[in-house]
Amino acid sequence: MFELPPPAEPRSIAFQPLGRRIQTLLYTAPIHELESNKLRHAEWWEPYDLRSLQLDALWVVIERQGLDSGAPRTVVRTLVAQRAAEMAPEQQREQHIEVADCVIGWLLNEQSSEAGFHYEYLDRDAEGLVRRFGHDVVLLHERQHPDGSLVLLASAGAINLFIGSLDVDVADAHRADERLLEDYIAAGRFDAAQQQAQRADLRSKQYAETVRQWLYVARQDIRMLDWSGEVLTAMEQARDHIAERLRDEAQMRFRIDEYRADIEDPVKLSSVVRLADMIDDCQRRHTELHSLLMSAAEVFLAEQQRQRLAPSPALTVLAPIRELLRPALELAPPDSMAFVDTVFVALAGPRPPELMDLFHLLDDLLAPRREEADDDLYIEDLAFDDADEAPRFQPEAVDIAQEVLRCVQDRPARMGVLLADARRRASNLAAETGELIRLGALWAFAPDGDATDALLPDGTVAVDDGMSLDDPEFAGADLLLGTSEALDGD
Amino acid sequence: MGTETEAVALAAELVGYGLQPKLFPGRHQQYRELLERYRRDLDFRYLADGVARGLGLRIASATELGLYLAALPGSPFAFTLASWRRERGVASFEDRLLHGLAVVAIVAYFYPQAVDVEVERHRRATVTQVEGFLRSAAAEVAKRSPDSAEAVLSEHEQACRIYLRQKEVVGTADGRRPQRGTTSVIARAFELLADQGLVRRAGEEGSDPVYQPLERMRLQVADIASNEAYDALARIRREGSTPNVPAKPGPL
Repeated sequence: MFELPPPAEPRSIAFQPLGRRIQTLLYTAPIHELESNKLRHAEWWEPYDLRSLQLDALWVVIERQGLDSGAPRTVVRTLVAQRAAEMAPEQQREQHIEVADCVIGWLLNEQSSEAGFHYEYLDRDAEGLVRRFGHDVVLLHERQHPDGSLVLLASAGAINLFIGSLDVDVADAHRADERLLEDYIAAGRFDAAQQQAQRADLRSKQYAETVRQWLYVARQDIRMLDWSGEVLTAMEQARDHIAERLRDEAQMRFRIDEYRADIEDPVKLSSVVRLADMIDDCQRRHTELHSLLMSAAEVFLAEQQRQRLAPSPALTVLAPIRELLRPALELAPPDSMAFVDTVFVALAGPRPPELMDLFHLLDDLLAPRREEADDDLYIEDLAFDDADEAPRFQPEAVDIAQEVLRCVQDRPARMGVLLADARRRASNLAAETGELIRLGALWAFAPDGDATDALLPDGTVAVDDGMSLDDPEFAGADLLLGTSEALDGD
Repeated sequence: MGTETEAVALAAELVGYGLQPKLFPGRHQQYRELLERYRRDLDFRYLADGVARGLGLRIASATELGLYLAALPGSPFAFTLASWRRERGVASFEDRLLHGLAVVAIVAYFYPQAVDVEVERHRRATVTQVEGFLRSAAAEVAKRSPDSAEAVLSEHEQACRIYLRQKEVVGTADGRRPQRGTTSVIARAFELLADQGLVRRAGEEGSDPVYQPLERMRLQVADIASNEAYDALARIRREGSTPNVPAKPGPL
C-alpha cells in the first residue's frame, strides 16, 4: 500500500470584480427571456425567432435615432411585422402584427411597472467580499417629442449592445473604426469599408444619444449630473474629437473621389458610391453633433441658473394609489366629491370659457333644440341597392332590343314600327323589350352620356317630324330613328 | 407701443398658448421662442407669472413640451367636474362622483407609486383594465372597513360603495355602445383627458380603446402633489366630517 499524494491545492487566482462585464451580459437577458417563453403565448408562435425580431426592432429604432428624433411606434411595428411575415409566410397578417406588438411592448418593458428589467447578481465588492448587486436594463424607452408625438428611442446601453463592442470608450472606438476604414479604402476593399463606415455611423448615433441623455437629465434636474467633472471633461474631449473626425472624413471623401475616377467595374463602383453617401451622412451627423456640443455648455449654464431660481421642489412626491385613489374611495361621498373635484380641477387644467358673440347667439337661439346624448349616436348606413345586383332588364330583352334597333343603321325607321317589331320577336318579354325601345328612342332624341352606347348603334339620332304615335302602351310623337346622315338627307 | 406694453403683450400671448393643451412648441415657433424666453429671462418670467395670476391661473411648469397652467379657485378658467358634466346635460351628484373617481383611478393606474411619477413613461391602458383596477380597489377598501347597517345608504357610507353598486356595463336593447355602466364612465373620463391633452388614444383592442398618458399628465400629477391634493385632504380630515376614515392608512 502506498499513500496517495495529498490533493494539489488549486492555485489561487486573484478574481477581479466582474462589474461592467456581468452588467453587459445582463443586457442580453431580456432578449433571451422573450424567446424562451414564446410558447406561453400560443402554439403558433413557434416559427418566429423572437431574438432576431427584437434585434430588428432595435435596429429600426437606432436607424432613425438622430440627435433629437426617434422612431414612431407604428413604423417600428410595420417593419418588424414584415420581418415576422418572412419567418412564417403561412400565417396571417394579424398574427405577425400581434408578434410585432409583443416584441415592442417587451423591449419597452410595458408589462411591468418598472422602467427597466431588474436583475440581481453576485459579485465581489472593492474589498473582495461577495455581495448581491442589482442592475436595471433599459433597452427602449418612449419619449414625447416637442411636437407632441411619442417616439421610441434606444438607450445608450442598447446601442452599445447592438454595435457589439461592449465596454469600450466611445471616443477611442470611434477613432479606431475610422482608422480601419481608411485602411480598407487604401486596400480597395470597399465592401469591408462600407461595413466599417456603417459602424462609424452607429458610433455617431451612440454619441448623440449620450449627449442627448445628459441634456435630458440637465433639463429635469441639473444636480443629478457631475457637471464640472465628468460631463465637462467628456464634452471637451468629444468636441476636439469631432473636429478631428470632420477633418479625417473630409480627407477620406477626397480619396474616395480619387479612386472613383479609375473604377470601371459597375459592382465595385456602386459600392464606392454607397460608401461615399455613407461618409456624407456621417459628416452631416458630426456637424450636427458638433453644433449640439457647442451649444450644450450654454444649455447647462442656463438650466443651472433656471433651476437655482426655481422654487425648491416638493419634498414629498405623491403616491397616487395611496394618496389619491384610496382617500377618494374611503371618504364619505360629499367629502370624496370635494376631494376628487379638487384633483380634477388641478389635473384637467384650465379650460377657456366659451364666449358667445351676438351674431352667433342669435343663430343659436333660433336653432332647433338638439337632444343631448352622452355618447356618439351611430347612424346606420343606408343600404343602397347595388345596380349590378338585380338588373332591371333581362339580358335576353336587351339582346332583342339591340338587334331591333340595329336596323336603323341601314334605313330610318319609326318608333311605332320598331315597337311592333320588338314585341313580335319577344313574345314573353314584350313589356321589357318595349320599354328598352322607348328608352333607346328617347336617348337618340336627347343623348344622355354613355348610356346610349349599350343599346343604340353609333351615330343614331331621332327626330320629331310631327307624326304622333299610335301604340297600345305609349303615347306622344312617333320619333323617326336613323343615322344622322340618312335623316339629314331626308 | 412702449417696450413695457410690448413685453406684457408677449407674456399674455404665452399664457394664451398655455391655455391650448394641444398646441406644441415643437410645431409653433413663436410659442417655442416665448417659452425659451420664459425659461431664461427672469423679468419676462415675473411678467408672465403676473399675467397668469391676474387671470386666476398659476404657471405649474414650463418645459420644452409646453407651458402648463393650473386654475386657481374661482378662476373663470377653472374646469370642474360640475362644468364638465353640465356640458353633457347631466348634473347628478352620483354621476359627478363616479366620473371624478374614474379620473383619479386613471391617474393611479398609470402612476401607481411615487417613483412612477418621477420618470417619463408612456405605458398603455385599456378602458376595461382601468375599470377592473378601480373595481378591485373599491372592493378592497369596502372589505377592510365593513359598514355598519345604518351607514349603508346614508351620507356616512364610503364612496367606494357607490361605485360598487354600479354595473360594469348596462346593455342596450339595440346592441349599440352602452351609455351607462362604469365602463362607459371610464371611457368618457379618458375622452375628456384626451381633449385636455393629457392622454392620447393609441388604438383599439377589439372594442376596447387603448390610451397612453402624455407628459402633461405626469407633470400635472407631480404638481398636484405639492399643492391641491394634500391641502384638500388635510382640510377634509381636519374638519373631520367622516367618522369612518381610518386614522392610519394601511396598504391597499
